Amino acid sequence: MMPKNIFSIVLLGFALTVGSSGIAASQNPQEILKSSLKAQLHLSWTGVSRVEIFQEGENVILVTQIIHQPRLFHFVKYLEPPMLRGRIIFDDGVYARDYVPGKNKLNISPSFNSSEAGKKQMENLALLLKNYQVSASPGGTLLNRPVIKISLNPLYPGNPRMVIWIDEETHFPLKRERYGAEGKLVNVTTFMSLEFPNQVDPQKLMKGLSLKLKEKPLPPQSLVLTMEEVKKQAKFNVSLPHYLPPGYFVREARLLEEGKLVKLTYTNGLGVICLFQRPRAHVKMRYYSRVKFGQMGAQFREKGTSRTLVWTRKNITYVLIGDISREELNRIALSIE
Amino acid sequence: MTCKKLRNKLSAYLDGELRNREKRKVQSHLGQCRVCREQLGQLQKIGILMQNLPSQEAPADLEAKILKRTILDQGKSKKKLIDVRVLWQIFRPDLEKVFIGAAVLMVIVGCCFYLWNFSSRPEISINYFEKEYVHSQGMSPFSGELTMLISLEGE
Repeated sequence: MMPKNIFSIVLLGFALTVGSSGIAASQNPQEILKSSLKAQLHLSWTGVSRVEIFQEGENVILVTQIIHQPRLFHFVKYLEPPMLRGRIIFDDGVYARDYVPGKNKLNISPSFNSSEAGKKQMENLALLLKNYQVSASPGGTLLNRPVIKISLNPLYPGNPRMVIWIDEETHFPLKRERYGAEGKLVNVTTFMSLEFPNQVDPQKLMKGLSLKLKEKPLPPQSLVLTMEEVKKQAKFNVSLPHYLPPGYFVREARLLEEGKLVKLTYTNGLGVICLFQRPRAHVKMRYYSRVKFGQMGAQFREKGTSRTLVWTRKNITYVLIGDISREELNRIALSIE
Repeated sequence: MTCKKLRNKLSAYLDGELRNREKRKVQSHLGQCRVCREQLGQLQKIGILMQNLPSQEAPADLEAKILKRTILDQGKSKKKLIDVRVLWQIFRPDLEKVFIGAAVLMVIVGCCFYLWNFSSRPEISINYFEKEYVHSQGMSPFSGELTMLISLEGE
């Protein structure tokens, strides 16, 4: 009993430290954002989140229970929609295990909550602050907590934007609205309930998890390399775009499928562009339209916040995905040599 | 009987080749028609004149020449017919075979190309790329958790 109480007190103390440091810096919206990101990563919390995804045809509402224990795990359990109910994501800081109980199916991907991921988020926040105008205003109350409304507006048009409602006390983000490159509201994330620190015993939670979620997966099949290393190690000639939308920088070059697939990631802090390339392949895809950019024929589709362009040239298949305007997507594609 | 019909039969009437019934019809018409009677008279006169013409000996080799020419002509026409027919007989089935063979070959080549094209072009679902993309979006601050949720949304 004693160790558990001490643990809770330590967590509460940490939460208050993070929270109070945020309050001290609350006059500066950029500092609020930094503090908010830290709060998200380092606070111990549990809550019920509601995400509404606006898409053509039918909107999707996801309700999840989330338990976050810094440096230990991030647990997500689906409550809605009925078809996803019971689905669990368990992220132990190394892997994110996505488990569907009915199907007894386990998908494993690199962690979203690792210290490396947190570091990248901090780096991207610095980039975001360069490419976005940040403004703060009183946001009323959410969950009976006074909140600050932070608006992130792109300095360069044709990029996504975001509005965040941040808890004045802890600087935890309680609500987010994301708008696409065309200015359309794409999704809204709201917390329906939230508690600091979480009241869940990590060991008890771990015990209750399906054995499937505790399986030790194989190491990730991808390597993060420099652009030069990727060019050398890839099993084909890697092409790079000569044009990137203003504010975008290369963030990552990754080699997948034993060198047969190259993934280049560019970001402006909030928007992300990925360029995949590999020797000729048939990309199976539904709900797309045939388009032309320059002399090239391509497949194009929009899904959620992203736009995708797929084409093959000189025996290399390219997949370009980004939360940017179609014109910008075409411009990048045309500049690839 | 009309005059026209009668004139067609006058020659046969003079040569005694008509049957009795027709002969009577002709005689009956001639009894009534002066123009036809004159026509008959002229034909009789021509016949008498022809009979009185002096006869002339045909060259000795005429018959042989005619026979030879006839045989040659018959041979030529037969030969032409045979050639065309033979050629047609020889080539027609082959052409059919060639066309069928070419069609089968084209189908085989098409199938091989299709299979080669597919075997050399691995099929990858766009979901794979989209999941990778969503994972990269997790690098953006304030979108990690949402990213995690959306990454599950397949096609």
